[in-house]
Amino acid sequence: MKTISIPYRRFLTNVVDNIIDGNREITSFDTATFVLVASGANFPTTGNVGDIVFDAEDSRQFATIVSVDSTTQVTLDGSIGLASYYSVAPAATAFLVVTQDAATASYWMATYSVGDRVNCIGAAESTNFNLGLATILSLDYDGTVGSETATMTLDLPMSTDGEVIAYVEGEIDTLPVNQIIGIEFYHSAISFDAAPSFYLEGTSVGLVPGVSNSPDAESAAAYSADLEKNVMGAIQEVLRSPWPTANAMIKDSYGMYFDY
Amino acid sequence: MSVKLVGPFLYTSSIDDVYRNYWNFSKILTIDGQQPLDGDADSQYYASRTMYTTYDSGSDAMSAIGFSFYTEDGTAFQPDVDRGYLRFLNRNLINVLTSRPDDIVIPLEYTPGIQSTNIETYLDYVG
Repeated sequence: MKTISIPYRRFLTNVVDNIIDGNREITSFDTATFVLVASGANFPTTGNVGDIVFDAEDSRQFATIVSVDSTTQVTLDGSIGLASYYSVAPAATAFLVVTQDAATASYWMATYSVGDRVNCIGAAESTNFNLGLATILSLDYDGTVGSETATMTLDLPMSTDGEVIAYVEGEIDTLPVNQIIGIEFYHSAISFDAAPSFYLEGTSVGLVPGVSNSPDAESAAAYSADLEKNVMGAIQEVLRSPWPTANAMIKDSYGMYFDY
Repeated sequence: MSVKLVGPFLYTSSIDDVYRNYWNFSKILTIDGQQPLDGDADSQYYASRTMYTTYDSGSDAMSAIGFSFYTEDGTAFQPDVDRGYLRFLNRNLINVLTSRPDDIVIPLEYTPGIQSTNIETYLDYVG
């Protein structure tokens, strides 16, 4: 059976919260001077020099606070891009995912490996998952009796105050291509939503999350177009393969799942 | 030839929802129209994936891909006047039948003179 696939999601539970200030709306960010203004923030108490600030929806873009200018303004040492939301984490914990209990620590050590991937829930503006996909650089175990912990060290900062998702290499969620009757790519010029659906014999399957409440209709249309290209590309790749059990992963499908 | 995806069929609804659909034409057996209740010319067609006789025998549910041809603003059906929709659907079915084995996506071909290109498509079941 030929299949297309997405990475299989494993939700990490019993995780220590590493965030000082999560998913806050940005009032303004100057990509030239790196000055971040947020009307609802109180930086002297929620963020200090040396803390890591990152785009809550795409943590590939992160920087360090170099000065706290006022209760609503900080200056960073680099750009976090044209973000709508930001999160702040201490430098010591921004790149770590840490267990809360011994049983979870043992489970992680038996399940995850260096090279596996980690993702977190974003701020739900254009997507509801972080577009930054971290790689586990090291997985360490502290066996001190009574305080056993496992710690993942990542190459990108991640919010661990909400859902955190791990992807084990080789674990996938599949859809049988030969059973596809139709595929629908939808986007709305009113609500700025976009989502694809697959029609199979006897059922339909959504690929979620799509996007909801994009900044504008053009963004929703662009997202839908990218997804259409990636889905149709995977289908064509797998059907042209000579192998009867061929599989192709839908590009950029981390964070998604098939909703039956 | 298990999957031959024809599309995209483009449909913009009256509230500006936009759909781009692809449909697997590899197992289509018949294409026919449905006379609207108001007696106007056909504006809805079905590409049936299962024969009625098979359905009647109780061995399977009948499934079909439905096509409704709308005015450009999506507010009303656009009636067929000379079986143009039937020619359009059959043209695309023939394109599938004559495609090369490694052609998976068969680009939609609009036949000359077709009255509407705003086409709502959907999967329909009987049984």
